[in-house]
Amino acid sequence: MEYSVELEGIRKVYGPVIANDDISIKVRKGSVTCIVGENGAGKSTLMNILYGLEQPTAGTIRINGETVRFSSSRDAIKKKIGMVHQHFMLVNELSVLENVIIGMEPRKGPSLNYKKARAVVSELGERFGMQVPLDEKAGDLAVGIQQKVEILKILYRGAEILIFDEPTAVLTPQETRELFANIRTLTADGKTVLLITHHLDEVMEISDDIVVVRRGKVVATLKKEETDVKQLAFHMVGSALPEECQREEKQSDQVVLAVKEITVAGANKPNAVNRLSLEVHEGEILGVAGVSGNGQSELARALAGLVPVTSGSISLCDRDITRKSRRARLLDGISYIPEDRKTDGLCLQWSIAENAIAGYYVQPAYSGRFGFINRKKMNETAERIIQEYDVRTPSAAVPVGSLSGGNQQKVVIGRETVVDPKLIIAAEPTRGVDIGAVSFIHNDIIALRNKGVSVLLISSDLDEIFRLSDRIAVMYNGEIAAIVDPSSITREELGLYMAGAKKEG
Amino acid sequence: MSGKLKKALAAPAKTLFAIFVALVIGALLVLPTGTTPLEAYKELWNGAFGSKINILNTLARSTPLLFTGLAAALAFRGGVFNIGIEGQLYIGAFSAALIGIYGQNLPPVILIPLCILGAMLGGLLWAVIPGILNTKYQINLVVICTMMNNIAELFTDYLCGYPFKGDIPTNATLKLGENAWLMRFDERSELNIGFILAVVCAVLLYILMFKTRFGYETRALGLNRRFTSYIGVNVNRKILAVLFLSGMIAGLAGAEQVMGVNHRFISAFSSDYGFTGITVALLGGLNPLGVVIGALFFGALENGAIQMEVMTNVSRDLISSLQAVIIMLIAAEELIRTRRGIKKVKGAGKAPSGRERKEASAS
Repeated sequence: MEYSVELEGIRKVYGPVIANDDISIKVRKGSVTCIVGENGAGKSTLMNILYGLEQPTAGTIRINGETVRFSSSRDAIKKKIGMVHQHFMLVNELSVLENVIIGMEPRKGPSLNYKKARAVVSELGERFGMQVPLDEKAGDLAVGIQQKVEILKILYRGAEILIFDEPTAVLTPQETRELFANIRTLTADGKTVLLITHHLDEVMEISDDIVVVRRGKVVATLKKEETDVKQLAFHMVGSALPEECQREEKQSDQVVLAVKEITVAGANKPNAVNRLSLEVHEGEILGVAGVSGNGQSELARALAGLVPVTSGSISLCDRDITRKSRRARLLDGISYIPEDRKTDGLCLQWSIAENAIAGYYVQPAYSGRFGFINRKKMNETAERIIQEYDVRTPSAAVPVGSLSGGNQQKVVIGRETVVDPKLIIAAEPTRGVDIGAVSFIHNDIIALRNKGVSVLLISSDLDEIFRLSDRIAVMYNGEIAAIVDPSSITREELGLYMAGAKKEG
Repeated sequence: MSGKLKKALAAPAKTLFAIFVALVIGALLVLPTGTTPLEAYKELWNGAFGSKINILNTLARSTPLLFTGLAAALAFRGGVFNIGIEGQLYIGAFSAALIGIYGQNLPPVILIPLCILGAMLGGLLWAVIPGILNTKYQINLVVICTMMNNIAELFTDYLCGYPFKGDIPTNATLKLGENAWLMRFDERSELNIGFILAVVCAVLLYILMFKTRFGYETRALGLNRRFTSYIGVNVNRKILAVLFLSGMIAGLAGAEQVMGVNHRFISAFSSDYGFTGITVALLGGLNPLGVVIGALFFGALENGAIQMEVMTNVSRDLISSLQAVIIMLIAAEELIRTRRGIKKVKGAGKAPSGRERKEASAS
C-alpha cells in the first residue's frame, strides 16, 4: 500500500493543554480521508502541523515515505501540500487570475506574463472541472466560486495533497455537491485529499477512510463501508447523543406574534421582505424555511427591532410594537438569536460574564442607581448560563472569543432564554456548531416550546426545520410561498416551494 | 497577588514597560553625542524631579496632557476617532477666557465654575459639527476633525487679534479677572488646582468606563458596532455622546491653561497638547489610570529636557525621539496581542464543562 501521508505519534502541547496526544494516521494515495471530531477536538491543530503552520512537540511526519520536518508552510508547499482554509485568503480587489498566480507569477522579462498565466490556469480549471471567471474581481464572486479559486490557487502551486478545513461550512447544498464532484475529480487524478468536517452526512458521502478525533486522540479509524452516521456520532461525542426531547402535544390558539403585511428594505432591495404576514402561536415552533437570501435575515432583524419596517404592522400579544425600539422589544420579551453570533450576538473580546447581560444590562437587576452595573448579579447570571447550558470554559471571566463555536452559541442561547421570553427569534441557531451542541440546542428549543414559549425558527437546514417545526412557512423572494404541516409534506415538495416553482393558493 | 488586583495593575504595568524600553532605546541615541546615557538621564531626572519646584513644574506640564489624554482615551475606547481635541481645546479655552474677562466682578465660587462650564460647552460645541456630519452624512470623522482644528486655531487667532485684542502687542486677549484664576500651590510654579481637577477627572472617567452602563455601551461601541446595536443601543446617538463628552474634557484642558497658567487667551498657545494627548492615551492603554502615568511621564520628559539640554550636549529633541519610539512600541504591542489572541483560541477546547466544574466543586 502506498501512503501519501503518514503521521506517527504526533503530539502538540500548548502550555497545560494537550491539543494532540500521540496521533497516528496513514493516508492512502488517491483517497479522501475525513478527519471528524467536535470543535476543539484537535483536528485543526493536526492539519496545521501537517501544513507546517505549527510544529509538533513530538512525532514524525512522512510524506510519500520520506520523513520531513516543516518549519513553515513554505516547506509544506515544497512537498506539494496545499491547504484550503475555512476563511479564504483571497485579495478581494484583485482578479481571479491574479489571485491564483499571486506570489508565483510567470514572468516575461521584468513584467508579468499574463498570457502564459491565463493559459496555465484555464488549463488547470478545465482539467479539474472548475470553471471560474478569470477576469472578475475575487471579492465580487459567490462563496462557492471563491472556494474554487482557492483550490485552483493551491493546484497551481503543484499541490498533490490537499487539506480542506471545514470546506462546506459556508456553502449551499448545491455548492457542496459541486465541491464534492471536484474532489472526486482530484482523487481520480491521483491527488490525495484530507478533509476536516463535523457534518457526518457529508463524511458518509465523500470519504474513503474516516479518522475520528476526540480530545486530542484518535478514537477510531474506520472504512466508510464499515460504519454509519450513528456509530460515528457515538465515537465523536464519546457517548450516545442525548435522548431526543419529545414535543408534547398541545395546541393553543393564542396568537403571540402577529405580523401583518410588513415590507422591509434590504441592502440592495427596497422590498427584501414583501408584504409578508404570519402568526406564531403560544407554545409553537414556526419554522421559516428557504434558500438563504430570500429575505429571512431582514425579517428576523425587523422583528427584533434592528431595522424598521416600511409598511405593515407587528404586534406581540395583541400589543402593537411596530414602532418600538430594539431595546423596548427585548425588554418586552422578544429574544433574538442572531444568525451571525460572532458579529451580532457576542462581543468576542469580552468575557462570558459581560456577554451574559448583553441587551439585558438595562434591567434594574443589573444596572442600579446612577447606572452602575451590578457585577455580582452579572457573574451570577453568567454562572447560571455556564451550568444550565453546559458551556465548556475554565471560568466566566475568559473572553468569549476563546470558546469553540458551539460553546459561543450556547452562551448566546443561554442568555436569550434565561430571561423567560415570550417569543424567541432563532436565526440559524446551529450553524457552524458541533453535533453534540446541535442536539443540545435542539432539545433546549423543544423544551422551551413545551413550556409555552413561541419560537420563530429561521433555518436553511432542512433537517433542522423538519426536526423542530410545528408548522413550516416557506419563504421565497420576500414572501411566504406556503405554510405547510411538516408531517404531510415531502422534502422534494418543500424544495419546489423554496425554489419558487410552486406557490400556495 | 489577587486576580483582581493583578488585572487592575496590568494596564499600568504595560505602560511602565513601554516607558522602560523607550528609555533603553533613547540611551542608544544618546551614545554618539559623547555624553553618557547615564549622565543625560541623570540631568533629565534632576530637571524633572530634582527639587520641589522641578516636581511642581513637571506636574504643571503634565496637566494639559492629562486632560487631552483623557479626552482621547474616552473617544478611542468608543472607537470614535476624535482627532479634533486640539480644536476643542482652543474653543474651550477661548470661552473660558471671555467669561473670565467679562464676568470678573463675580465672586470666585461662581465665576470659576462658570468659566469651567463655559469651556466644556465650548469644547462640546466644536464637537457638534463633526459629530453631526459624521453620524448623519457618514463623512470621515478624522478628516472633519482635522479641518476643525485649523479653523479653531485660526478663528481664535483672529478673535484675540481683532475684536477681543488685549493690552499686549501679541495676539492675546485681556487678562482674566483675578477671581477667575485657579489657585497655585507655589508662586514660582505654574502648577495650579487644575491638576487636582484632572486627577479627579481621571478617577471619575475610570469609574464611568468600567463600572457603569455608559461605559459598558462605550466599550461595546469601540469593539463591535453591530453588537452595540444588537444590545439595543442607538449607535449614532452613542457616537455623539462619546464625542461630546470627549470634547468637553478637551475644553477643560483649555480652561486650565487660560485660568491657571497664562491668565489670558494667547493665540496658538497649545504646543500640540491635543495630539500629544492621543499618544498619552495610547501609552496609557486607553485606561484613564494609565493615562495619568502617561501624562506624568510626558510632563517629566518635557520639563526635564530643559535642564538636560543646558547641562549636557544632548538636545531636547531627544524627547521627540523617545515619544516616537513609544508610538512604535504601542503599535508593536498591539501586534503581539493579536498573535497571542490567536494562540489562546486554540487551547480553549479542552476546558472542563460547566457541569463538570459543578460536580467537581460539589464533591
